[in-house]
Amino acid sequence: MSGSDRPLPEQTGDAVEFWEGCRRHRLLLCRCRKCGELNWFPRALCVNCGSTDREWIEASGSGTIYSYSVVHRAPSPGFDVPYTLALVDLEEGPRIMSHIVGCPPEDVRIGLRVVLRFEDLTSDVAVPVFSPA
Amino acid sequence: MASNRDVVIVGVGESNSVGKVPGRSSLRLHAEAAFAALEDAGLRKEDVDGVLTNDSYLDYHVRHAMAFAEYFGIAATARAINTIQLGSGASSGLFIHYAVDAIRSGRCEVVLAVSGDNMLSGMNRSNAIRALAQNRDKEFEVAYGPVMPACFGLVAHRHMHEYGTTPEDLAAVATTMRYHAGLTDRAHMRDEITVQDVLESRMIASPFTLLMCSLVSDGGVAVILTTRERARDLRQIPIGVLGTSVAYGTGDGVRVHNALSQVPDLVDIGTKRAVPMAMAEAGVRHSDIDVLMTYDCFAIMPILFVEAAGFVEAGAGGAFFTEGRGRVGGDLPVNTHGGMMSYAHPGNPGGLFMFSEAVRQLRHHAGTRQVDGAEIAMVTGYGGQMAFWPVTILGRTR
Repeated sequence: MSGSDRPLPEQTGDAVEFWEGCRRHRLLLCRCRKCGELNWFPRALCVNCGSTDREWIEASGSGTIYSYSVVHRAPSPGFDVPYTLALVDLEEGPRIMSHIVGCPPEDVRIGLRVVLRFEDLTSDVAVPVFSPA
Repeated sequence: MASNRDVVIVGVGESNSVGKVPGRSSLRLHAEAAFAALEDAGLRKEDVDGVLTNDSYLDYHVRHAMAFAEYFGIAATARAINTIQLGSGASSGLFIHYAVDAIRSGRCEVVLAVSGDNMLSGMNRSNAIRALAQNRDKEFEVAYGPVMPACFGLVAHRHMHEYGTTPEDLAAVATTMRYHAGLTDRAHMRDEITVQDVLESRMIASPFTLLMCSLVSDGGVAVILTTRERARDLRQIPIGVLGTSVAYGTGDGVRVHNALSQVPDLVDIGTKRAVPMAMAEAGVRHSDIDVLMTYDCFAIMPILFVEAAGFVEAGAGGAFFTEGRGRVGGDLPVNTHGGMMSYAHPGNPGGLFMFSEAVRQLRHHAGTRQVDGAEIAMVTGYGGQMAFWPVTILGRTR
């Protein structure tokens, strides 16, 4: 469902490794080596303790739907409606915004177990999406 | 303890009309509202020494309050001119919150808080919707097209899952707002609608149909605050700011959040912490509240507010509206002007209309929608992405 007008993520520079991981279809989570906190969004300074000492761990790709909403009016060209916006709770703890793909919107429900996929927005940029497990 | 520097609202005003008002710039709508409020108070522009604005969706100025102050002709003897850009749902309560600080401290004597926008005529509805989608985290959210109705759809679906809230409950909020707008001459949308009309209107983002969403309108609104002492010489019964507070976050979140996807709990909102603070300062209890103004960007929010404010228990907000308790004539009327769902939602001014209406109610100037003997009003605001929660308690003075 990508169109050339679909907005791309604007990278701040705090998450270079995350986006490089996405390009290679891997979901990398940022963990502070000092206090162990998983930082979602990936941050240069740990949101808990402020340390810049961090590591990247690969997510299992499993999660459950915390909530969703099926969009029927697109915000701009590049989005094909309907699409299902969702908040997905990853097995590792973080809650991420994404889309539910690969099933009719009416089959989506809170608590549904989902697995990670990737959607390529361009040849260099991919974003995590999820489909029913 | 009462003091002469206690803060009161002495003037409220709106642009000449609200709704579809083509040909009026955002700053012009501000100015019309500000002059109306000054006239209402019996004050002159030269009396104003504090100005607060909250920017415009469409007409960007990097120092918006200064752009307004120049346009309006504020005297250079002003003591504080600030833009508090905290969005449509929270700027109003925070205008009051910071005006109280400025006035009680002695820095300012007369504060004008004003907002105006032309989201309907200045943009078409589609552009307004697109602009709002840009109001998200640019790195981790925008690519997913999280339009405003869908962000609140996430909240509503969660509430429906946790408590069994139904589309009919959401529709009851919409019909309550429309009933009140029907009693309000100036409202943007006044034609009666039924629950069935609401359910059958076009689906925007689940579970919200068009009539479960707030309007896109044009309009401006202004509020003027001063000291109790200064108010003695003025035109209207002063409305006291009895209590004002703001709480951050939701659920058991330990830290503040800004982006929607960082919200710890979508339905357990921070209003539950802000309300006791404001009520303690005001010295009131729930049974003292005669009218409730809640930010109604989408039909789920008044449901969350009556729960989190403690008027009903968690999960009972839908029934509150379905049973008609929120209607004028019911036991706690909500948004007696029709809210943003039926009175007007021009963009950043939206929430400030809650205050102009609360003041009319407490002055007993609300015509056929007057809540008999209204003495105390509570206003519950909404900030950011479920992020911060101002609460204000106003009271009719003697």
